[in-house]
Amino acid sequence: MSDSALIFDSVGKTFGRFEAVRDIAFAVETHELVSLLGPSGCGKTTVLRLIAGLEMPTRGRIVIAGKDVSRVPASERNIAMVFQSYALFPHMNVIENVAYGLLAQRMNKAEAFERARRQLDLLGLAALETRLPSAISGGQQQRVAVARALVLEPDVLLFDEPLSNLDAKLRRQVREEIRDLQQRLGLTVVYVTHDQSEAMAISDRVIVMRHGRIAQSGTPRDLYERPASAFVADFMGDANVVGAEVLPGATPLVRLDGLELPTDLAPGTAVDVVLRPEHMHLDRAAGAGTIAGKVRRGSYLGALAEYRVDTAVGALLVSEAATATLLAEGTPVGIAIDPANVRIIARSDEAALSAADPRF
Amino acid sequence: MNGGLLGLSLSGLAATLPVAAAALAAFLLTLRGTRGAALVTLAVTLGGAVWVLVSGGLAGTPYDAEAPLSLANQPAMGWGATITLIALLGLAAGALARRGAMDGDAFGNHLLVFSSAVLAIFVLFPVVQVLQEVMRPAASGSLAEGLAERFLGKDLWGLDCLAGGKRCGMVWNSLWLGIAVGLATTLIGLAAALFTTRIRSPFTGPARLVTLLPLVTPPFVVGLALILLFGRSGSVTLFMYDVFDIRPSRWIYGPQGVWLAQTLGLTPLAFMVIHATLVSVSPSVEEAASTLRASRWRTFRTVTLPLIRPGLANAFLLTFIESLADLGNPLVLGGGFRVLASGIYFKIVGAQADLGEAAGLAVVLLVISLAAFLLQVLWLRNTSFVTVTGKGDGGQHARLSVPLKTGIIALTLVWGALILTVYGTIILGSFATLWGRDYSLTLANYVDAFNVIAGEHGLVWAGGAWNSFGTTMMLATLAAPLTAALGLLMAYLIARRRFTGRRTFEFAAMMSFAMPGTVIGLAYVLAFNTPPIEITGTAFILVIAFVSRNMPIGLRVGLAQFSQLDPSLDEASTTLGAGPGTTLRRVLFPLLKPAVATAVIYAFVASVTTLSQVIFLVSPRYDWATTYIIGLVENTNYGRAIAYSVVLIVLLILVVALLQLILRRVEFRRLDTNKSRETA
Ligand SMILES: Nc1ncnc2c1ncn2[C@@H]1O[C@H](COP(=O)(O)OP(=O)(O)OP(=O)(O)O)[C@@H](O)[C@H]1O
Ligand SMILES: [Mg+2]
Repeated sequence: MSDSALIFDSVGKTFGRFEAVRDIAFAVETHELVSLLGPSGCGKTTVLRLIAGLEMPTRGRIVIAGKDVSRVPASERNIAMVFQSYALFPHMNVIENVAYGLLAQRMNKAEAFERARRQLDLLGLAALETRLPSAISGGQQQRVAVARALVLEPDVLLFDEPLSNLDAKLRRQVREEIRDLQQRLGLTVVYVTHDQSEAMAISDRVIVMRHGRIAQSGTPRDLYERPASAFVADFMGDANVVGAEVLPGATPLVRLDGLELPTDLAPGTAVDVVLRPEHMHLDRAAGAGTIAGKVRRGSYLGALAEYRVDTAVGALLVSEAATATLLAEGTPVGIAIDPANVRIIARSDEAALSAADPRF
Repeated sequence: MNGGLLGLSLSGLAATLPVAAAALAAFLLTLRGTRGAALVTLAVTLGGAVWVLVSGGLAGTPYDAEAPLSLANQPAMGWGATITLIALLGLAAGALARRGAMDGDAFGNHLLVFSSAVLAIFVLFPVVQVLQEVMRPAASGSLAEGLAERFLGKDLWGLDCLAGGKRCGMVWNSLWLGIAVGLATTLIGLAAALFTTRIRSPFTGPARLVTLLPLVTPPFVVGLALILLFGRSGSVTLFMYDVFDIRPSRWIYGPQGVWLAQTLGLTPLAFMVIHATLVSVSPSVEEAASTLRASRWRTFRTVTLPLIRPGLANAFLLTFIESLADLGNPLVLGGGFRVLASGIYFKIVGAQADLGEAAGLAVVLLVISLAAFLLQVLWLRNTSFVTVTGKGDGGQHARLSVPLKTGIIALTLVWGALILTVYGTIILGSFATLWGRDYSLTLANYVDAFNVIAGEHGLVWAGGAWNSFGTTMMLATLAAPLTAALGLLMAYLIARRRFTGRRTFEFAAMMSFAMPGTVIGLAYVLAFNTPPIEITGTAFILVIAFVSRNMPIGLRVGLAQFSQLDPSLDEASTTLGAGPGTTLRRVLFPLLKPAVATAVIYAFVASVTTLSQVIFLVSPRYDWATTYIIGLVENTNYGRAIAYSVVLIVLLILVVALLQLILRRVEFRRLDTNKSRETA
């Protein structure tokens, strides 16, 4: 851990009496891109601001590049941040914006502008040097904001939902650019987003947050395939979460209508069963080992067809490769799934988490 | 004073020992740097600072040569004590930061501690002195009797005038006058605002300009013009006598005259407030009402009027407060009619001088004024401002119904005509040889006031006005940027930092806005005439009075601007490695220039035109333009008084125009800011 670029050691932050984040512990290695992911209000921005030094922790320790910076103000930490609104200074032109940080740190003017110019070149912005931020497009503003942050060669580069002000097409392109840049220059990045696909696309690791705590962290694949809770399962892509109980027997198992799923959990445990839509497929006739149901609605989505199926365990979402015709409403079907693709999660922790949280 | 802290404590002056001890302790504790040590440092340094003030305050007995070092012989604070005080406060701020206040931001903590100290010493402390003066027992030694004398007197609460008697108490006079002025100004202000925003006419532009004229005019100058028009030898009076044989009378002297002068002088204030509210009413709301088949009058009554009600209330309360505080017009036009503000004046300078009774009047005036101010604050807080959407929604404002339109035009025109007459009179009056008798034009008045002779040893400033004019310009120029800076820095603190007691701090800072000038003047006389802070008769006291009284305007303007400025701009600057000083200078100041300009303009104009604040504080050495003019008026030297006023008005217009020019340039840039935020 000692060579981690950033370490959070059970950090908490309280605003007045409101505990925004608590007991946050994680580490970010050098050259790694880590995303903070979670629903609105879960404390992602707060964690990022704690890293930046814009908030001071009320508990715990923050270490950047081996130095305890828990009480060091933002202006003296070697980080840089790209803001959601970009926060370009409207009264300075592009190059003045980029040189600002260098000048603030007392670099001489000629050298600061020279470095800023090189940074702009690197990002393909050389032609915009003398424009005011109001005279360039949203995507260009975003890149200027990145240039302004990068020119300082920070130990950790922070992004707070940098794509939320761009349109959908541009978003995909810019996130690829950010990832390329990070790999090319070997940057250490913490990236906040509430968009699961964005997080999965660019991250080495994702930290999922909920109610001011870390719900789970791991590689995108880990989180998708082995979610530790129904919340994470649901947040990382589409999932059907069905409540059930482990039944006693020779081997304990969970039964969903005709579908029987073996498990190691003790009989009587309340569990959530996670069924991904793309793992399930529809049999035209309800056979043994399937969940019987009736099609309520089918939607044609181009590459895929998506069905909402009413079953004894609730309405389930199933997606299949699109066939020539959609199944009609009311068609009886059986839902089959490979038990290897099913996640069974004991529910206790989850319930305890919600119960302990004053926000509910 | 002579002898520094070290010398005094070495020579055994007991009063200085605690300070020396505190300084030493703070120094040692600062070396330790733990949180606990910081708490002790805080206590020690604040204790030391309080001791500096209190030990000074214990002084006051005549110098006793027997015991040269006794506490009672403490002189007023000199430079050494001032520097010590500042140093102790600075140490306290540092300790606060080390305690983790404002996330350990040293800059913010210093700002908070020093501005709180300014508020405490120059606003709170003087008010407490007034209260203390009121609480002084009567000659008989009884406190209750003293209080009764000061608060229950007939000259305060008498209601004789209702029963056919001659006079009512000053409290009633002030209240009635304030309410009448508030109502009239709000009504005319509303009419003028509707006229300029909802009625298309070639007069709209000129009307706006004319409405702004009184803002740069010392208030009593309007009263002066009224005397020239309607006084016993006024031009209108004499004309009426010649033509209709109406005998000249003194009707203008009394409540009517004061009311008329204040209404003319304060309507622009009401106009500006209502105008701002009116333009923020989105036309689409009115359009919606008319598509719902509401008649024009109904739309106005049920949609527009309720939407601008906060603006109307605000205008009423502001002009009410200003009317209460006005001293000039009651002095010039009051005759036997006394209000609280002029009452205080006569209790201090008159034959019946009595500081206790003056303090009593000041307390009553302060309470009424603060109550109105509180109402205003609460009102504004609970009715959030009208639909401010930022997106320019198109659409047309509803047309006004014909009778309403007629009323508005009539009212605005009458008012405009009056204003023009008043200013015409002022300009003519300054050039007339002897108003009422001899209207031949002359420059004598100006020459009297502003004569310059080329003497043997260079220029001689022979005009009588030069002394007060020079002081006024110099001190107002000095005070204006200080005032604006203090107000804006406080706004920065309140808008951008979290700390306990922030709301209280904001309220305390705003409060001095509601303190009538005469009350401040009296309070300063009581507070700063004796040690620890002895500054009456200096230029310093004038500057301080302006700064603490006018700082709220910078605060208000600043708060409004900060709420429109994305906080991530400051945060971006911080994460880029800039300290708070650099951020303020390179990011916030350029973006806040309009607020800076407004605050500076206001502070300058307010301190040049005020009479009530300075009248007790001026000295022969530091005389003020307004007090000098009032002196001329008292000697019925109207011509010279008016000429001097004209010079002031023209000068203020030039200054405002100059600053506006800078402001215009900034507004061009502000457009860019808005645009970039939209695309962002
Ligand atoms: N300065 C503050 N004072 C009080 N509460 C705050 C403050 N800043 C944040 N909070 C609260 O802390 C919680 C977490 O806020 P945060 O901004 O970190 O959420 P987020 O995960 O970034 O949400 P979003 O996705 O909407 O941006 C929220 O409930 C918020 O109201
Ligand atoms: Mg956020």
